[in-house]
Amino acid sequence: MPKILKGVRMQNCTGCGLCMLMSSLVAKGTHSYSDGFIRIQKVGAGKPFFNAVVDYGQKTDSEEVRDICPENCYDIVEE
Amino acid sequence: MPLPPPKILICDLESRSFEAKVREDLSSEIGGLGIALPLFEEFLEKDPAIFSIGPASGVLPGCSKTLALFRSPYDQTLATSFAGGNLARVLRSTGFSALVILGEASQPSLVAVGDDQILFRDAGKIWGKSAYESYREFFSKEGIPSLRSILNIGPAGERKIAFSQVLVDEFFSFPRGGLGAKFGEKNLKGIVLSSMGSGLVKDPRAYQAVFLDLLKQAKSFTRLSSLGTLKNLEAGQKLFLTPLKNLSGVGKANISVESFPGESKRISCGGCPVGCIHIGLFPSPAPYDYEAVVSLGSLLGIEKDAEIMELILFANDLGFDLTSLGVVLGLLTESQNLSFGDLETYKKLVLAILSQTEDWASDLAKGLQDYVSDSELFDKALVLGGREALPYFNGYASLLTQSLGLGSTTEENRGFLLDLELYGKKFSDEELVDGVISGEIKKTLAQLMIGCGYLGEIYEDIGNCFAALNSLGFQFAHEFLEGKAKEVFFKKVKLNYALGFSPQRRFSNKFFQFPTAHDILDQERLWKMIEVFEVRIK
Repeated sequence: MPKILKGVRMQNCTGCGLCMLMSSLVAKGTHSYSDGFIRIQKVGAGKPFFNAVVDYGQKTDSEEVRDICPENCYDIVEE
Repeated sequence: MPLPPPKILICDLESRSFEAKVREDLSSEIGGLGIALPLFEEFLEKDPAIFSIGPASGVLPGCSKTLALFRSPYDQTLATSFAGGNLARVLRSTGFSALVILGEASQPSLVAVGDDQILFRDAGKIWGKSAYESYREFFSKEGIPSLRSILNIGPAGERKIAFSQVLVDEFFSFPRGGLGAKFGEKNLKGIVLSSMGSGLVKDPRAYQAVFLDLLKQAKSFTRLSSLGTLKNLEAGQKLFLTPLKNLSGVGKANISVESFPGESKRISCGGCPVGCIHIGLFPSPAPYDYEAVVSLGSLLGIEKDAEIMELILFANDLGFDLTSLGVVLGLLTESQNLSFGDLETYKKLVLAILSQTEDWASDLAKGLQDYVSDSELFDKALVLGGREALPYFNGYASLLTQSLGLGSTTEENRGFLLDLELYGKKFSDEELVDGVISGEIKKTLAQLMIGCGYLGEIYEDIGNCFAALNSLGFQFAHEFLEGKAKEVFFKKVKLNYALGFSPQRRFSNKFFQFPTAHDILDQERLWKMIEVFEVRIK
């Protein structure tokens, strides 16, 4: 089974976006918040919580991206 | 390799036009305050509000702040303010190192900056709405989710009340100095920036190594992470130095650093792992920090966590600067013989200040200094350097730095930390002033980069700045960075003097009645320190 990166503890996410930055470095060699395979989005106005939108059309099982999260929000799991 | 020349976006609200310029002449200024000061001087005639970032903004951990530089609505002197949120990283993505807002719009406006276009929109329908309501409008309609930053004011800024702030991404802000009122003067309800931009990493290995090292350093700020800036209350509580009830005394506030305010959530600025912004979740989500909790809590005699949070939420939604508002309300409570600690009275006072219908309320619009300067109220007012005082009462350096206009936020002011370093020690006036200047120069280095002031140890360290710039392909000698920080600090101080700033000579007696970290302060000694500082800057 292919492995994927999954936000499994997103209630802890602080919205720092370091995973977006690292996924861009891993995937494209750029420092960008838009080139990677993750977007962190605020759940809504008035809500200090965030969702991870992962583009599973790309290879996502990056340990660097999982480990960069200061809140340990991600696991690499079997699809 | 030197830094590429910064690209500057200049938006003129009056003519609804914009211009993007590459400024070769500013490439040796590093970034942040270094490029903002010359731009400020260049556009002074058109009342600029400048937002600038640094070379590592948004791409290295903790380099997450944007500097705002403008003429303060309080007294037309120089004001700096710093905000986090996603602004620095989004501004970087647009490719601009600074955004310069000039002039005054003829009608309420929104500036929308995107990759392909810059739009000046009518914001008439949103004018008058509360800060959070305005944010919701922008959030639902403007920019690209997750790749945008939203700045907006509330009614206090619209009505040009000096102690008003600009909200950034809802839970962050540009506090102090009156940027909210500056937006109001410009008929500017908000700015939305949005970008898909990116930059190539020249040497991914070197970049990643420095990135991980800085990340590790930032993660070591565990108390800041778990308590936010409320951790600064610990020292005040331990030493019984927390200012109480408009500084009618000092002592231990009835606030628990560890458990305030009950259920909360941490959030981070873009690119920072610390998450020091703490959001109280009840009655509705609102950020709290040391300044807000002490100014709207112990300084007003409010002791219940829920009531402090209610007042924070109420004032934030109206767009007031929380620190300054607390000091203003403290004076009104004492001078009008009102009861300290009465939440409902405070809400009524806040609404009266906002409405500006009564004389006393409209007299307050230019801030507390202006309100009390020629009256007997002066002695009851906690005013330093033309602004409402920070709620620290630690000693000489804290008072000196504020009265010299060297920082009116916990993030920007280094005085209260120096006071704690000097606790229990003997020091001469010269030693204290030299300590202040040395701290200011280090702080300025971080303000060139621009690193977060709460993580001072990281970007005030010359080695870290050198490594950060090097990892991005830019090489500067240590001596050059040190020299530039010194040059920019003195330039800022001199420019402020040129705009009419002069250090405070008259102080409320309240500052000299209670014990501090340096015992009871002597006003004459403070004057001497101001004189020493003035000699040093010449």
